[in-house]
Amino acid sequence: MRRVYLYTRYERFWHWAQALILIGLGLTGAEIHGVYRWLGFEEAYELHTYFGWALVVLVAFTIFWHFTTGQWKQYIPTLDRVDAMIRFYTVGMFRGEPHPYKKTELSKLNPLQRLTYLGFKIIIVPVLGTTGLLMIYYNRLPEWGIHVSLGTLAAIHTAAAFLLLAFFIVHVYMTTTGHTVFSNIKAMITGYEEIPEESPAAGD
Amino acid sequence: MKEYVLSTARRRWPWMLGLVLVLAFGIVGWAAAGETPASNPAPARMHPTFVFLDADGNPVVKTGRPISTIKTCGACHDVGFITTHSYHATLGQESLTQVGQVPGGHPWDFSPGPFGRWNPLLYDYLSPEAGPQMDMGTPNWVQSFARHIGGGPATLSRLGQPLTLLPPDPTNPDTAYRDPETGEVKAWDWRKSGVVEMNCFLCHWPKPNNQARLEALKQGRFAWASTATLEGSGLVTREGDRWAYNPAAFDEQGEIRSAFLQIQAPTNENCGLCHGLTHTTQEPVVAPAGDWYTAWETATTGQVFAGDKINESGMNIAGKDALARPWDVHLERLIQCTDCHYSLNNPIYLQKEDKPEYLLFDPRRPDFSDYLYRPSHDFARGTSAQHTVAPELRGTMRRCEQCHSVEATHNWLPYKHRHMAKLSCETCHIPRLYAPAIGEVDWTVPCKGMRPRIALRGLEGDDTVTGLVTGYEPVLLPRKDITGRERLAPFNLVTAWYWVYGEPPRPVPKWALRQVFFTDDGEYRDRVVQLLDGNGDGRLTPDEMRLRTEEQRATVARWLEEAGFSQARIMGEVQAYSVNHDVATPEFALKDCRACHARDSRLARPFHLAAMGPEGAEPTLWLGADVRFSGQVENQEHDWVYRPQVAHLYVFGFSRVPWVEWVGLLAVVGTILGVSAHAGMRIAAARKRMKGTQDVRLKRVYLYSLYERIWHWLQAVAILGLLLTGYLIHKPEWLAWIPYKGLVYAHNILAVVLLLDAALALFYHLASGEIRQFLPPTRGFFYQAYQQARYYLYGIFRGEPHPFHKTRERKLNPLQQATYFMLLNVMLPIQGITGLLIWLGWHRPDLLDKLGGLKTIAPIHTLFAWLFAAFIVMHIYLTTTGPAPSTYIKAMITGWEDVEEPARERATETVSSSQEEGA
Amino acid sequence: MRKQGFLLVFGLVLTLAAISFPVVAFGLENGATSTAKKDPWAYVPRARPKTNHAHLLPGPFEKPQDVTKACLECHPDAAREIMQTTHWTWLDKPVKVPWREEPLAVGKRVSNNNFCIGIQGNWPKCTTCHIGYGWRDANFDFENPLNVDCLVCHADPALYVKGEAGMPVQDVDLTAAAQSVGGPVTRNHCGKCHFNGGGGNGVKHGDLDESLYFPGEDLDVHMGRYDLLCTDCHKTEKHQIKGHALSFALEVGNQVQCTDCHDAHPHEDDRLNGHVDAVACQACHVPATARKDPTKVFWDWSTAGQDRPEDHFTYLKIKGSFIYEQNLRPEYYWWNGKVRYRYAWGDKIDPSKPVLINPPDGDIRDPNAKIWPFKIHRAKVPYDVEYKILLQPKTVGEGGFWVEFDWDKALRLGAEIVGIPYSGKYDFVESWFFYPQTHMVPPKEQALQCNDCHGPNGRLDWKALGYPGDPVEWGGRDTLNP
Repeated sequence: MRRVYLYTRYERFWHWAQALILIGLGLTGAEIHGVYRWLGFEEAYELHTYFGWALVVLVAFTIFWHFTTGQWKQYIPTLDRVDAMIRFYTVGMFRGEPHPYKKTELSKLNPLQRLTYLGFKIIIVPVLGTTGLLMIYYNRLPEWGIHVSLGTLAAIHTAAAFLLLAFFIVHVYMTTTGHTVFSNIKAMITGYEEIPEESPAAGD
Repeated sequence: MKEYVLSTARRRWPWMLGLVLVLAFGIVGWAAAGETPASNPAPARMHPTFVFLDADGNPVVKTGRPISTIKTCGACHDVGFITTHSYHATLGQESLTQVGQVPGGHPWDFSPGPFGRWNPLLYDYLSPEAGPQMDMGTPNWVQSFARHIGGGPATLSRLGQPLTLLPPDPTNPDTAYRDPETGEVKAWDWRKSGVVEMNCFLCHWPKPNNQARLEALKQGRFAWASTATLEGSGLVTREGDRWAYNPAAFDEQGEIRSAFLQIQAPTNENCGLCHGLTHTTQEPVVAPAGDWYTAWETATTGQVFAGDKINESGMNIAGKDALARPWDVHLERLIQCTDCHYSLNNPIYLQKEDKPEYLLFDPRRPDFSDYLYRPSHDFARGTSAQHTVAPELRGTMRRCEQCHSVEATHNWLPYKHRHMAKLSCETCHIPRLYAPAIGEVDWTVPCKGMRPRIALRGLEGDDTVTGLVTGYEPVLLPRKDITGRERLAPFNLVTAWYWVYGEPPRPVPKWALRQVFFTDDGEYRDRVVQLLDGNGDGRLTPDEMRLRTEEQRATVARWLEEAGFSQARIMGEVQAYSVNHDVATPEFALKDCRACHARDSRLARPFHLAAMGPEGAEPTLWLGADVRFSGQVENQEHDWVYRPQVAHLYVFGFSRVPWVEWVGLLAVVGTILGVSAHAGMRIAAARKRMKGTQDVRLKRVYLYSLYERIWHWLQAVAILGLLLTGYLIHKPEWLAWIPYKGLVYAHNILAVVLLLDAALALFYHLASGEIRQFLPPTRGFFYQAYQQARYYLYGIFRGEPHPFHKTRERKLNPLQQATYFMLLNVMLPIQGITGLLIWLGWHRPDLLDKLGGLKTIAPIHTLFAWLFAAFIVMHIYLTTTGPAPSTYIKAMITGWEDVEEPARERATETVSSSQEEGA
Repeated sequence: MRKQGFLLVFGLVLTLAAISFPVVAFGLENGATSTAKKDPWAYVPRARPKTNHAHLLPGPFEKPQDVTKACLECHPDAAREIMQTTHWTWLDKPVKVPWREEPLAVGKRVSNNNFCIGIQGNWPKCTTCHIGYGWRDANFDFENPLNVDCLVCHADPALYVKGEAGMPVQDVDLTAAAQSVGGPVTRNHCGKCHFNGGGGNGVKHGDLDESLYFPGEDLDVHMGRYDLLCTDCHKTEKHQIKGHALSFALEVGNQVQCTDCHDAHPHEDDRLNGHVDAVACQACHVPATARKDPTKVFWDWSTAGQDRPEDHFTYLKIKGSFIYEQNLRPEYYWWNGKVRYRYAWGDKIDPSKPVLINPPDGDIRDPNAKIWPFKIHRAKVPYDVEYKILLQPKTVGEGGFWVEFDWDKALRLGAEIVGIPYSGKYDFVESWFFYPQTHMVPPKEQALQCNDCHGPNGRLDWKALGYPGDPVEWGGRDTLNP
């Protein structure tokens, strides 16, 4: 086993802050949507808006961070070994096969993660953010020359939210597929991950 | 200013004005009144007909007695309310005090208004008590202060009794009368003269006959004053020394035939009768023939109340061709005097103070019938009128900002809120007055006919008809408005010189001055000619009518002493007359930033006061109720000048704090000298050891990431730009062709660029952990700093290697760390915060003022700007201290630096693991 | 390095964003968003360089028609083009008008005014200003291209002068005049006739007189300050000159407009721009007319023929008595570009009222009408007491009034030529002729301002214009009931 410093301090901060905000958004969003009643519509709406702005700020800084530190390269999509990955998750992992991808400081994400996270970052979050902002400023849209109904915006926003929810569930589940059940989560807390030192099974 | 001798003693001005009016309108008016006045239809002709009543309530057509306005108009209107709600009638009588108790008044004043407050321009002193030295009793005042519309002190005694009930008594100031002809004090019988009731016709009749009214007053036939005003209207004709009613104008019941009725709402012409030069015809505006002094507000300030273009005026105004602007834009755009100075309970203008916040409009208000029954004759006024007039009405008028949206129209102006907070609208919108105004009045040696010598400002030549009117730039003084804000506003300053006597002082009565200086037939006494005749020709030239020596002054004082006025001495006072009219159209308003933001700022330009002052006398600045003199009076070889001070403001481009300038300059110059010396020594040292250079092995290291380089250069450009634009804002006399406004915008934009750049960089350094580069090591820092300092001061000349070696992980040496620590933690924040505060003044001037105002914040900003400049000199110089002079600069461009390889590390070369390097 | 390139692009974008954000923010604060106005200079035609014709037209030319013939060798269409224009025909095409059954054709050739009243029978004198040669009587051949006078507009005006019937005067050197052509058509070419309409400098129009040859910028900002020529606004194509005088306009069309070059809403102030829907530019920008040279405002033919002292500006025996005025304040009427009525020979009049020969059409309810400034020429002209029609005297030539001073004879001859009846009983009736004022625009500083029209001393009679009162208080016509 080798201890590798995978996640920098800011990355971890960003991850957990984003997680909290997204959970908050999900909970308040659900209440606005009418799933349950706890805080009351008004309160939930206010909180949802605050969380939304918090996410905007966080994302803005994180984009900046990604580009200035070069971490954006982690998300360059690749189809290399995607087949192996899919095979691992569908077959290999039940047979105890080794992970086909080795994490390093330079390349933390496996190809499947790259694709998913990229989709998360350039499709789901922007769609949610844009529709959300449009709804915040709904009263002023006509004077900006934008004509769109609140219903359309809300439908898109909700649909994207459900996508996000699906991602969230899969994401949480996937964290358990590490070396041990908690090793991935631990890594995201401490920054260090223990990685088996044997040579990768395939590809080398 | 040229001298100009005018009449005030005999109040000739209303005569002249009346004459002009009669010439202009008299014949037309007569003809129009004789027929139907339909040729000039005006809405006010709705007024129903009525019966003119005398004081006993009988129709005057039957009795032939004077019209009583109170009885006549009181038949329908609530005259009780009107007479008690009319400052024009009471003129301060309601606020009489003990002598000398008037705040901001002379020691001899006993009322804040014209009834009891002495004005050196008019001179006549309404005496608080009768006696041998009395100047004027109430009857004299009624004759003398002929701008009074009647009512108030012309009907009631100082104690509030009807004057007609008072027994004629020469010892009661209300019934004592000093005969202007003989000079003796007599008792006045008000029952015989009648009282002067409020003269409704003066304001509510078109083209009232003011001349006839003044004659009636002068002849002491007070009761006839209102009736005389109608002379020429077709209703009244003069027959000898009486006035008779035209029977054709009245029906059998004594009611006026409607064709003769012309009652109307007051027009500008009515107001102009007493207040200044108004003009509403299509003919060119001309100065009143001969005597500019006839129009009071025009005389004291040069304001002309006309909508005509100045270039179409009949006056000889310098540079007139270019003045294609109206005298006053409001009048040009059909605003009438009464649109701003409206009756306080006029339902159109009524502002309900106590309306709750949730109401935009409160419909519960007097309607028109209520208003017509009981119209307030107190008119809205601002805070600008002189002295203490009508204190209870201060600020009842709408100010500029209450009609105009300054928000919408001043977007071109940087820091508009700040400008609005410190400057009144008038300051820029009345940049200059184009008619002459009185600058100086000298009563110490009266001219023939008991007139003062007067100097007009804004006039070249002898009088307004033949002279060249140059106009003048008003002086800017801090003035408090109703909101309590003190802002600079334009004023004319009028200096007056006069004799006082006794303790507490009183002005020497006019009759006494006449006795001392003139013989009974109005010629100068021989002793006066002997005393003042400088060239010995037996006559007094205007220039000689001045007390030029101490001896002359003492002699006249002795004459006054002999006449019974002990301790005679000269006083000089400067009164401020505010300028609120003659507002220019936008294109003629002051828009040039450098008018104020320059070394010779308009805000501090000296204002000429007086050149005729007697020897040894000094003018005192008189505090008005709202105005403050922030500067001081200076004597420049017998020319008195007011030098404004704006120490309470910080005006960019004008204000400078000397020590900041010196310290800053010293820092920059010192740094330049230091690095020049250092460079010289380095060059000299390098020459010495030219051949014997050590073999320094260099290694290319990737030191600066792309982002770091962009950050650095953006910061460099921003700071250099800020220093340059800041310097030009501070000293606009450099490169005066660059628009000042552009400099300000450029500076602000650069500041935001720097701020964003710095904020993002801070985040970057924190998030990526690069912040460590800037943190001085906790251990050994001082030793390391010593090593580095020793290198710069000693080793560098010997060609020693740098004591520290740059790596990707440690780019800065201890001295750099210390310097940048200072720079980033002290200087940059201070510059940023002070800059932000200055910028905040744009939107929240109050907040800035709480923190000491610009005058505290701006010098700090300037000081640190100097220090930044010094740092940059040092910084640029130190970039040349690398292996080659250009090494460091190249590194900051490409990211790669040739770093000296430490001897001990040469053996074990390590591979840089920089991520960026991997490309 | 490819990735580095991407980062560089990103860095630059970020940098630009960091710079543009404050620029935009302060820019918005600055709020300098003035909409671009039309640039007048873009609409001013460029002057063509002069073509020297000296060697092209060697001459010598005997008759003026020879010159025209020479011109037509190289410009074969020129005469045909000219012959389409009213400059040549002095007659407009017939137009259906509401006040009469058959279409009406107006023009100098057949119509009247209230100056010298009419050209019929008086041709040789009047046709001095015709751009043709030899219009002496009713038999003039309008179809002969050789009669077209090219020189009057194209020769150096100093070398060419026209006389009776439009023939060059005796001493004109036709060869020299012909060789001088090729330059631009200048103010002098137009001004020779148009500045002297009515028989002398400035007599007729009020806004056109000889002061416009060399105007100061105060007199005419276009020609004085910017040195424009007549043809810069009266743009000309194929000899068709843009512009149409009111006295001949039965229809709207072909007018030169201020907005040809200037923006429709050219003012900074919204309130001024609000005026342009109801007020012609000229109403404010031509504050006075005949500002330099006086113009004739009144003419009394009834006093003609008397032997009293003569003076060009007050009395002439042949014409009667006049009043000239300088710096005249215009009179203001609604106008939509056409006439409401145009007197034609034979129309009945009401002698108890002034005869309005060409009153402008339009009123407050006409959306195409605007308030325009007019000079009105008022004249007492002869009419037939019996038939109640205006009469036209023969003035020049045998039996003409100017020769024999016999009204009866002159009117009888005139009526014969015009083709109207004459009862032998005549008198004089006041008539009004309207001239809209549009030239002599002073610099904008001299334009009228609010209080010139609004307020108690304004120059407009609001009631007469159809307003309930001053629109400052009562609102403009858009607020009135439709």
